[in-house]
Amino acid sequence: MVREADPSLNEKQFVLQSLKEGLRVDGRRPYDFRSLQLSFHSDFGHVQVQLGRTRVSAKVSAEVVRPRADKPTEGLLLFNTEISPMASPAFEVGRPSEEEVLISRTIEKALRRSRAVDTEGLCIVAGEKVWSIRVDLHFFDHEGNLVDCACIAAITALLHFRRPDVTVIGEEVTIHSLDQRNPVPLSVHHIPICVSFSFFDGGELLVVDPSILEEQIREGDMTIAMNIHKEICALSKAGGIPLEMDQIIRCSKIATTKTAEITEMIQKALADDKAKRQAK
Amino acid sequence: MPYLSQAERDYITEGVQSDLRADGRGRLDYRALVLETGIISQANGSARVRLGDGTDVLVGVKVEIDQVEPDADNVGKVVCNVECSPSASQQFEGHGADDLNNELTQALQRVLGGPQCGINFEKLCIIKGQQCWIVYIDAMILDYSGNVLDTIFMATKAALFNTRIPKTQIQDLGDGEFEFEVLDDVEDAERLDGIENIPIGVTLNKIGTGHIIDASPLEELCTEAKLTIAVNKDSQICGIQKGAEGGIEPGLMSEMIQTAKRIGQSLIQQLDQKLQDEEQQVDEKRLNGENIEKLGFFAMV
Amino acid sequence: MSRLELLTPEGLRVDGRRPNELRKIIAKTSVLAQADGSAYIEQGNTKVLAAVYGPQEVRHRMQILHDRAIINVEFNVAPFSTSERKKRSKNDKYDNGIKLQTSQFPRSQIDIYLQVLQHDGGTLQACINAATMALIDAGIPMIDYVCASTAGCIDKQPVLDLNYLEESSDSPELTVAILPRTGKVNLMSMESRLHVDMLESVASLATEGCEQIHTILDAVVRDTTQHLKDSLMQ
Repeated sequence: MVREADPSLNEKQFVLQSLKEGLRVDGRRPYDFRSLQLSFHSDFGHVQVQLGRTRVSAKVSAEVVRPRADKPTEGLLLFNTEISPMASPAFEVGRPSEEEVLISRTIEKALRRSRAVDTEGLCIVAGEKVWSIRVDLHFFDHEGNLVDCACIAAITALLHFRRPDVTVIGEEVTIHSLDQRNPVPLSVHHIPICVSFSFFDGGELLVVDPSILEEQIREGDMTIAMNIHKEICALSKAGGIPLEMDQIIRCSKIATTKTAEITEMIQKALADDKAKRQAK
Repeated sequence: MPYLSQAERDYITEGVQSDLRADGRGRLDYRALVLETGIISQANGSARVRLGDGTDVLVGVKVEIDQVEPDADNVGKVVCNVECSPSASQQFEGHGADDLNNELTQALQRVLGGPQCGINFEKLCIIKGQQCWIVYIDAMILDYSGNVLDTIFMATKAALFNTRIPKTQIQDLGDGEFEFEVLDDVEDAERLDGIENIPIGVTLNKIGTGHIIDASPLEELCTEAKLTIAVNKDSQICGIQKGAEGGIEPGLMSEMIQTAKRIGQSLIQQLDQKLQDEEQQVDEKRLNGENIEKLGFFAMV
Repeated sequence: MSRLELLTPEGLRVDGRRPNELRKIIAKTSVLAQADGSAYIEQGNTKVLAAVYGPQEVRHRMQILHDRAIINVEFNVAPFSTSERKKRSKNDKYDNGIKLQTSQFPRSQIDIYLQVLQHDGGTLQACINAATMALIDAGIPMIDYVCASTAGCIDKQPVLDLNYLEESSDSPELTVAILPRTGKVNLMSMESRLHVDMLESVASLATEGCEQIHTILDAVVRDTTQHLKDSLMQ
């Protein structure tokens, strides 16, 4: 594996010094997210998200499968992350790096364990047929903060996705193709948004949405997934420097406002796309 | 894997010759051991054996209901699995223990998987042609200081002694259809049939011209050949397996088997006695409404 | 939300504890012969064994860090540890966030192996506590203990140290690991939904739990090392 070169001491010092003065190298202020762009493809549930120069695409697909024996009335929700060397030479094909494992675990926690998608609504015939929703995440460009970008991509794609309609008459299940009947959206309970923080200078300085340079220099990190109802869906801080509890509470407050902003952006983009589709 | 120098090798071999081993034991002396049953509440039966200052084996037995095999529709099954935890040795990290796990699992399965183990497999069948109990034996090696296989056998025998299988009630629905119900009552659970016949293993290590039992790790390193013999309480031999590279002369072989029979006998007697004593104590405490304290990992030799 | 009554009207929990009460904790160090350091901890019915090897030579040379030691954690669950027997995958890695003086051991490796023998909720916290004890037993210099505790929220009532029943009933569970001397948070992890306003009270309850655990663990360590001190005094 190619180990990425560490930033030079000068670079490090420059970033730290400017952070102490409340500035970031890319011109943002500490609590700013980079510009977020959502672009939808022609088919449902295919979204490309660009956060600054970090780019992730999410594609949702659905198929009918047999449910798990212990949960006969629940559909399946699967996430599949693929970080190719295209994003950064530090990633290798076929061997998930620790970072990749962490990203997919955070996404799983934020979206599945918090029950963002109604999996019971995906049941067609209990114990026999359920929908299996699969979200494929592809990482195209790594400029820092893959987690947040991937989370936004995944949830937006799930919101955008439409599955084929089904009718059940007795034992018979008919799946209507897209031109027969209008496809139906998934029922999404809430929209979890990941907000990542990086800490510097013994935990005193913090930034939101770290760039790749900041990620390399940081001393600690934390990710909070939250929804618009101010519920924390997942929180993970492991390793790195120890933090004061007050600092963590402060981060949760920051995450609240960021979540509201991003949710609004996602909803606006979805509404725009809908209008565009109807105009056609 | 540690290597032995020639001098160390000679020292151990000479010691075996003159019936005095490095830790002061004679050739056919066993180390002291600690045994406790019923330490895992989630399992149907469990036992932990700590042998000498280091070999630590934890066995959990779980019973589950499953479909019978189509070609043997009136019997249940025993499935063994041995896992070496990296806490026992660094070599077991990652996939390092896979070979040893397989070897030990097979050794255990070979003896306990068939009728030679004495368990009445037909009693494990709930409804002929449909459902049966499967007894899962999971052995975990937590610490290592020689003679693992014998310890596993002993812990397994103890854990099976401790195992209770819930009773089932079968209802005849007519037309050859049956339905059954598992009774929840703990008091109603019964022991496996034929438990007293379960064999234990005695491993003999041939070092020089002599042979020893209960080898320490260093002694295992200079073992030329080893023979594991499974014996039951009636002195019947239920399985023999030879290991290591060297050969064993036919004369020595039969001598080793005789030794194993004799030692196995006395081990089984002592083990059975201890298990019964322990159970009696637990039962008495339960009757008197006393709290049953398990020592668990706090019991040291 | 949950079908099971987890909190009685009197405010007691399923196992009879009060909301801010820990389960019984028993710990012991030096339980294994082979490992450089080892510890066993029981937290209610959750039982974890930890073994530490090292510092030693790095196994894969590629991973060598020139300024500090690398820490490798392996996590293993016994097949009989839960009520349903199943084979779990090995290597379900938990980043422990253990605070070590790793800079003292450049180019070396420290291995921590965790073995869950019985699972009744709060595995992560028990693993962290066991690993801390094992590292202390191995004599590896640490800045401080790393004590972990969980806290959750049942019917808007913050509760400490959830057991398996409470954990699996969909109530939020927050695991916090702190350095007791400074009170700084080393690890924090949560799943399931919790309102942001509750975070502070749940987190402070968990912190309290960590401090209680620290007292217990510290007593164990002091107890087991007393004879060393005594022999020095003579």
